[in-house]
Amino acid sequence: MAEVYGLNVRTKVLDNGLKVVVLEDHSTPTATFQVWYRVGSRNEVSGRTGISHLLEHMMFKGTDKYGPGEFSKIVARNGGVENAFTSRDYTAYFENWASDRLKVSMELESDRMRNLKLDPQEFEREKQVVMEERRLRTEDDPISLLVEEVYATSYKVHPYHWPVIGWMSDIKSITLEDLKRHYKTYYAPNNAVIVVVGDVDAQQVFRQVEEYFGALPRGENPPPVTSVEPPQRGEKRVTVVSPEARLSFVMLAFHVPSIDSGEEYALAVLTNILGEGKSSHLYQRLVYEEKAAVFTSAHYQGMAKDPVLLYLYAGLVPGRSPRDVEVLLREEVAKMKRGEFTDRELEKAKNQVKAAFIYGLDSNFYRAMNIGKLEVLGVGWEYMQTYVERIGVVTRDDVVRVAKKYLKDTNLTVGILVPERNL
Amino acid sequence: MRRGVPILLAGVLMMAVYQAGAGIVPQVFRTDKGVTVWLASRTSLPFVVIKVLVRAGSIYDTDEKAGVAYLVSQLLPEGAGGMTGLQISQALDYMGSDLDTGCTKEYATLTLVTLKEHLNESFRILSLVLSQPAFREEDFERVKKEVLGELLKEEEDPGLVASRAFDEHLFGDHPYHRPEKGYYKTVETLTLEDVRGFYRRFYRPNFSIFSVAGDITREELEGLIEAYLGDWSPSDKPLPSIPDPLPLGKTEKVVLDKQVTQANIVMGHLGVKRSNPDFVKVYVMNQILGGGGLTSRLFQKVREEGGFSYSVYSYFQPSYWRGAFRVVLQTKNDRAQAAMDEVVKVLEDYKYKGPTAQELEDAKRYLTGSFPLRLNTNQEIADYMAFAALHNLGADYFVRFPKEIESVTLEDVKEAAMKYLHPGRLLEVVVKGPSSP
Repeated sequence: MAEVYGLNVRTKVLDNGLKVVVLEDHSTPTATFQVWYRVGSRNEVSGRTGISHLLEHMMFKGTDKYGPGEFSKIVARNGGVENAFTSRDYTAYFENWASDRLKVSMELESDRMRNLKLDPQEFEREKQVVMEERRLRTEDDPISLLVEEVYATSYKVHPYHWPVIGWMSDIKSITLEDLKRHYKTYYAPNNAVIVVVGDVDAQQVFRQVEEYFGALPRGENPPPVTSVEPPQRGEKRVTVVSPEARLSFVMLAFHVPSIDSGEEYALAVLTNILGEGKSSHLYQRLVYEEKAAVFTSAHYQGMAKDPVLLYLYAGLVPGRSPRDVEVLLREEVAKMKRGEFTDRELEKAKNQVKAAFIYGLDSNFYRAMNIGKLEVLGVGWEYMQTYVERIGVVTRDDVVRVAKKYLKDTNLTVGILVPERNL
Repeated sequence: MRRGVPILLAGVLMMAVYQAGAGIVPQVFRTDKGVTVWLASRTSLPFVVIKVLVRAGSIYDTDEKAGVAYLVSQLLPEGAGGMTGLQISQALDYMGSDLDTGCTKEYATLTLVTLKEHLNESFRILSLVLSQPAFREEDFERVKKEVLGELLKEEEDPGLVASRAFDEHLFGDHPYHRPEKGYYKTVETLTLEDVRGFYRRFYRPNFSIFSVAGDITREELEGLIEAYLGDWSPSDKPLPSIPDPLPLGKTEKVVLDKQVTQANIVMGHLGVKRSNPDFVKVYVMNQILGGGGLTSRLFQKVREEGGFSYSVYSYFQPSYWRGAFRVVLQTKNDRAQAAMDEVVKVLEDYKYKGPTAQELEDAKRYLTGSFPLRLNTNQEIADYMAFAALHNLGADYFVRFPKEIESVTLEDVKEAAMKYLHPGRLLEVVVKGPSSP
């Protein structure tokens, strides 16, 4: 098993707190270089939501040494592909290229870890770009709008309440001073992890990282996130009426634990039986039997710092009522609590998880993504090594137990998207 | 459907993120039934991706029956060779295998991803779906409703609405004008006979390509094809002949109103097809103008300096028939005209002045350096080989292509810009809402 997964990982922690994780794979002469920061929308406060993502954009706007856009030019000129992404729990930057280009990554990434310029004019322009991004991804996409509302309804205390991109008025009003403070607080070697996967020599990478990042001063420890979502005390409901929606859409969301709770394996299997593939309970019932839905799915992403939402949804066949579909979804949830699924379905779920894991190893980039995520979430890359095994030992009782414990009405938020033209 | 924690990218498009696999030299052969096979054996992980490409795209629909090609592709896995759709999905899901079917304007695809240990059974099911679909009345009615639902849902996406309107106007009477999935009103009228007829005409071994990457040898693959597709019969009729589309003689502007906060803009004109000898020159020329990465002229002017748009790019479709050149962007409603003016300025400047020597050098280094990054995974390799096979680019394509890019000169790019960019003859499509604050 371990050979198949090829996880020959080496790690090192520099004196300034920067952790380096290297996975050698010499099958092709390329490598991915990734810098992960332990900061995302989870670390934000009301009134300044979206600041982590805005800062991610500004990371391409130059330092004293390299002017705006120069970073990207240098990467492109070296045949590299680069980008960055922000989520609730982390922000990451990467370059993929020939493995002999790694030093360029180190030069550029070490520079922008501490020396970002944050020019006022560039900042005002970039705010426009991010507002366009929000219009593109959320405002003009009815389902995204609904998902945003479901999160905002389901979480009232914890920062998962707001979207990663932030509320429009916050994007508008965040100041350069706010941004500078955010950068200074979170962009420091002790709050970052470097992940390198590809045709490299681990010891050489350690030496080079020391050379480029070793002199960067350790920052103060960032403030902890103290908000804890209290238990939900009854069903919540939210409706979005959209002028542009054509199909109704129904979503049920439950608060559930995330990674390292010990329950994430059973929750993953449960989700799989409910919603993965055409043979899943939701698809069979709502699409094949009742012909009430065009598509269905269940979703649980346990790779998160704090408790997350497990949700199921269905896009409705025109003419079907959201109320009826909600009832069908609830019935399928109830069946899981009563253990109404076969042993073969349990096996199937495990096989699917195992296969998906192997398919996911087929790229330096995605392996590095998984390592980086697990590192910044605090469980470490080692988590990957036991994941498939831990899924394999989930029992029917485990699945029923987590279903009963979490998929209950008092823990539920129902979201409904209603096309305005249907009213 | 969207899945996972929303991840926001500072860049234009994430596409897949590409890595290595330089110098892939596939085995290319033809079976006695006429199937073209491209195979890249890779043993690093115990799984296989099999992509079947059939020349059964929506280009072979008619205007009256638009949507047949897509409906066929969606019905294939809903019952075949004595198995019901549910039995098929249960069997595949149990093995952790994925089978996905779809169709573009030019071809239909069936993509199987399977662990090596389940290759035989997964391939058997793929073969049934491909060569013995049942097309039962009951499934037909259900899937048709699902497609109608999808068509409605797609109207929610202003970018898609803009791109469809662009195709409708640009291609005029040519079959490229139709959307892959057809129209609500035509799909409603389709019959099971339409589906069966289309399948019989186009789903044939001699119109098909198998592009296979992963832990499998040529002997194994040939054995599977022989064992499970031995009875699949070739067509003795050639594919219908379709001419290239003709250019619009004039500029045209189409404005569609929608309740959106952002204007979705598509501007462009006819481009070049993949088989055009100038294609590589045009490809390099476009890279500088609006291609991938975060450095193109359009990206600089429209996003970085103008702050107009999150995403902006230009693209020459590497199409089978002559396809489109398009510039795509979004900006808030009241800045739409200013953004479009900016695009035209960039196009004009680039057409008449061309790139600098430095820009060309940078573009070539980016394209050749990042090319191996596009061929890292079994899925990427299978996709790219299928493309190369469709366009008959030869087994040495993956070695040759970087050299072809390398050989493009400044003169080539200047000529390509003069010849293939027409900022004075643009079709402009804008899908927008009322001006927003």
